[in-house]
Amino acid sequence: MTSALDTATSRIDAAFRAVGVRGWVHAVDLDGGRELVLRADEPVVLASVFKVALVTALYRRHDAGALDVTERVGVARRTAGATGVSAMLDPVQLSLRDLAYLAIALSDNAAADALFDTVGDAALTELLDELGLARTRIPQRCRDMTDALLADTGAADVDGVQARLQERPTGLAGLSVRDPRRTNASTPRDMTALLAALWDDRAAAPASCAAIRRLMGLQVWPHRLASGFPDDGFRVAGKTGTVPGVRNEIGVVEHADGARVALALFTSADSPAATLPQADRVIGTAARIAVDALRAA
Amino acid sequence: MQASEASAPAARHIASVHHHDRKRLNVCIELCCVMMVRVDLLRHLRYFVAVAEELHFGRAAARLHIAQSPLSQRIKALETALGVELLVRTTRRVDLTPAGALLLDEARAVVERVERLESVVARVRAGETGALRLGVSPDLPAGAVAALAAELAAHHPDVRVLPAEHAPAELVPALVDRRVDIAFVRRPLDDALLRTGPPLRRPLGALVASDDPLSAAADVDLALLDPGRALVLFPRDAAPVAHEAVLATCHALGFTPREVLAAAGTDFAASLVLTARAVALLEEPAMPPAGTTWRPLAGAPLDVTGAVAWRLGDDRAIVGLVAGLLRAVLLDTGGWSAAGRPAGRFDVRTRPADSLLS
Repeated sequence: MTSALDTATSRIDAAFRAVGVRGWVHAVDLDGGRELVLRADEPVVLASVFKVALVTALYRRHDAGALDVTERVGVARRTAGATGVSAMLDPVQLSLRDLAYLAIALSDNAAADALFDTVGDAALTELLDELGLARTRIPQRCRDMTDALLADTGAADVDGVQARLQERPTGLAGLSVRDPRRTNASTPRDMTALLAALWDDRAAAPASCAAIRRLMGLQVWPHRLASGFPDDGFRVAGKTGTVPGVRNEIGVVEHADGARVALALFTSADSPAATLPQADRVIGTAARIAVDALRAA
Repeated sequence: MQASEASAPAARHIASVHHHDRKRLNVCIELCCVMMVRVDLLRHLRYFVAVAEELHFGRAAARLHIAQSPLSQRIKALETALGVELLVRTTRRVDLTPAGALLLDEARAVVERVERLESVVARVRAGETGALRLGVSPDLPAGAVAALAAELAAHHPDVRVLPAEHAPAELVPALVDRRVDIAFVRRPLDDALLRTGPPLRRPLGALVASDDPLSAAADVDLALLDPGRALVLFPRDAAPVAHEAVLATCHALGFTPREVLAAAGTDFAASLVLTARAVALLEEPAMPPAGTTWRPLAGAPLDVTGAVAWRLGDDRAIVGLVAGLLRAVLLDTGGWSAAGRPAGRFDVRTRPADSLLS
C-alpha cells in the first residue's frame, strides 16, 4: 500500500520531470515531525540560499555582543548583482540589519558580501557546527561565485555571462557554481533543519530569530515558492537561490489553521535560458503538493 | 705543424709494416668501411649527395654542418665499401665518375624517400595525418560526407575519414565509447566528456499535406494555426529541453495544439500529416515525401542547433582539421548557418528575478 506522502513524492518528481528539471526536496511539518523526502540527502548547490545562514551568523554575533546589528557600515567593495546596493550607483551607509534586509528580501549580493566580510568565516563555521549542519559548507562569498562564473564562461562582466552561456558549446556543463564540491553546498535536509531552528528560536536568541523570520517574510519574489500559495490563508517566508540552470528556494509556509511546514526545494535544468517560468513555477507546485500532503497526513 | 709531427711516427710505422701485413691491414680497413657504411648507409648517402651536388668538399661540409675531414673519410669509406671510385679528385675540383653519376640518382631517391617517411611519421605522431572514424546519422545531408571526402582528397591527401552510420541518439554514446572519433550531433548537448565546435542552426519549417490550404502560402504562420490541429514533433526523449522549448514557443505565439504526436523520421511524420491533417515541425527534407509540402515558418521563430563534436582531450591536429572542414561543408551545402545572434537583436540579459545569485 502506498501512503499519501509517497504518492505526493511521485507527483512532485513527475512535475519536475514534466518541465525538464531535476529536483531535490525536503519538507517537514514543524509541529508533527512528518516529512516528505525526495533525494533530500543528496548534495545540492545553495546559490543565494546561503544568505540565510549568513544572516543567522550575523545575529548570533550580535547576540554574543561581538557586534551590534544597528551599527552603520559603508559598502566599499560592491559585488555585482541586479538588486539593492549591487544595483545602486552612489555611496551608501546602512546598518548591518538593513544590509541583512537587502541580502534576504532582495538577494542583494553587495549587501551579503559586506555582511560576510564583517561576520567572517569562523562565525559561519561555528553556526553550522552548533546546529549540526554537517553536510553544509559555505566557503564562498558572492564575489567568489561571480568570479568563478566569469572565469568559466570567459565573459568580461556579469552582464555578458548570459550571452556567453547561450553560445557555449558545452551548455552549462563544467560550471563550478553548479558543482556542490566547488561552491557553497548543503542538502535539503540540512536546510530544513536550519529553518526549524529559526522558527523554533533555537538558531539564535528569540528576538534575533524573529528578526530573521521577518526578513524572509519580506522577500519580494512571487515566482517560486509563493506561486504555489496564491491565497490569503497562507503565509510564505522564503529565500531563493539562482545560478545558471539552478533555481532554488527554502522557506516556511504557515496556514491560518496553525500548520507550519519547512521546505527546501532545489532544482537543476540543462537549459541555459535565464527566463524559464515553468521551472520557477514548479517549485511552487511541488511545495503545494508537499504542504497539502503533510497537512492531510 | 704539431699534427704532422705527431703523425710522423705512425707513418713510419705503417711504412715499416711487412708487405704481407699491409695486405691484411687493407682487408681490415675494407671490412671496417663495409661495416661502417652498412650501419649508417643513409648518412653516407646523404654526404655523397651533398658532395656530388656541390662538387666541392668545403661547400658540401658547410652545407652538412660538419668538418671537411670526417666528410672526406666517410666518402672514402663509402667508395671502399662499394668497391668503386665515385669521385675524381683533383687539386682544384671534384668530379663524378660515371659510377658516381649513376649512384647519385639512386642515392637521391633513397634519401628523399627516407625523408618523406620520417616526415610522415613525425606528422602522424603530431596528429596531423591519419584516419578518423566519422559518425554519420541518417539526417546528415547526403552530400556533406562526399564533399568532406573530396575536400580532403584535394588538399589533405594523407587525412582520411571512415564514415559509419549511427542512429542520431547513438552518436554521443559512440563518441564516448570511442567507436567514432568525430560526429555532427544535435544540441543542446550536456555531456562533459565531449567538446564541440561553434554551433550551427537550421530553421524548422512545417510539413503539410499538399492539398492543405496551408501549402498554398509562401510560409506558415504559427500564430494563425487552428488549435484543432495536431502537431507532429520529434520524440520528447530525443531532446527534452529542445522539445519543451518548441512547445513553449508555439504556445507563446498563440498556437496550443490539441494533441502532440511524436515522429522521429520524415516519412512517419508525413504519414501522420496525411492521416491526421496534422502539421509537422521539422527541418527542410531533401525531398518532401509524396503528397506533402514543406514550408518555412513565418518569422523563422524556431530552429534546431547542432555542432561537430569530439571527445574531450582528443586534441589531435587532425581532429581540429576535420571538425573545421565538416562545419564548413555543412555551412556550404547542408542548409546550416552559423548560430550567432541575429543582427539587430539585443544581447540576452537576465531579469532581476532570474539574475545571478538572486
